[in-house]
Amino acid sequence: MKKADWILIAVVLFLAAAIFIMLICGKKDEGNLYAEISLDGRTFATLPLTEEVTLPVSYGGGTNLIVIENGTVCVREADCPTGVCVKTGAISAAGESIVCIPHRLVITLRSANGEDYDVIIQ
Amino acid sequence: MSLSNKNIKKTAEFSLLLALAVLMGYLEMLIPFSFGIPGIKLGLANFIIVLVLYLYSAKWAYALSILRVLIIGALFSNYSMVLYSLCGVCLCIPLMFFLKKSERFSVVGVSAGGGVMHNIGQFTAAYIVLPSPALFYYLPFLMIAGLAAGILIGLLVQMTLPRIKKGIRKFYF
Repeated sequence: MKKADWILIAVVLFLAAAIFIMLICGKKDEGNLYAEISLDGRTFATLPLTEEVTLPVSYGGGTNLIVIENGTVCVREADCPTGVCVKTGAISAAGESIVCIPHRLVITLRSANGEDYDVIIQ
Repeated sequence: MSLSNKNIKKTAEFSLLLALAVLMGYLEMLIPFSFGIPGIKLGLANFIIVLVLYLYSAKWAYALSILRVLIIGALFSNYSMVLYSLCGVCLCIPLMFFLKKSERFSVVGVSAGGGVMHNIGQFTAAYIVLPSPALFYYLPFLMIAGLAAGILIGLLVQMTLPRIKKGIRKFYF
């Protein structure tokens, strides 16, 4: 093995480490998830999960109390007849959603960098 | 007459090496070892390709790898594998050619560079098929795996090359 071989190996290892460290660091300050709240099919608000928010939403004669805390979203109270949205509980992963049909409310979690998958299988 | 004779010998040799490369690819499929990341393997067939690069030229190595990918693809694997492998080959052989031509690298360096480039090519193909930022997490691991496999193959070629060269001269030239 010549000197240039060792240099090549070192360069590749350095590049791989650099890419890995960049990815790890980049992941942290993305603040990646946000909740998209839509009423009757129209987006009403988008909120980052990093803040703690309590938001009452009224539409079509009903009210849902949306609570964002500790990186999760839930509907704490609702005056709809079924209460499915409350029973859904808290969601915290990209692509998950809470739906309240009577009040036409949909809360979807989206990722800021466009990844809505957990795993990709081929 | 002597020229055509030489061509026939070269064709026969080349075919033999191609068959060996295909066989090594097959052999590798029979050995079930996995590192949890798809696309990581030793690449025994690259042993033949590096050998051809040193025995003949980059042109022959290129032809051999493309034929090998197509034959393996038709026999055992699927379309996407062929696509990934072709992208790997298209990047890997030119790099190995330039590394070899610079004459600063030994077989190990040339092979290691080729291994890394092959995996970068496969990564590129995967990224074109499935453009997801999450895929970038594979890249460092693929690069290191390519490096390790390339070094091992390079060491193997380094040990084999002088003996094969001797043998070929004895038999054919």
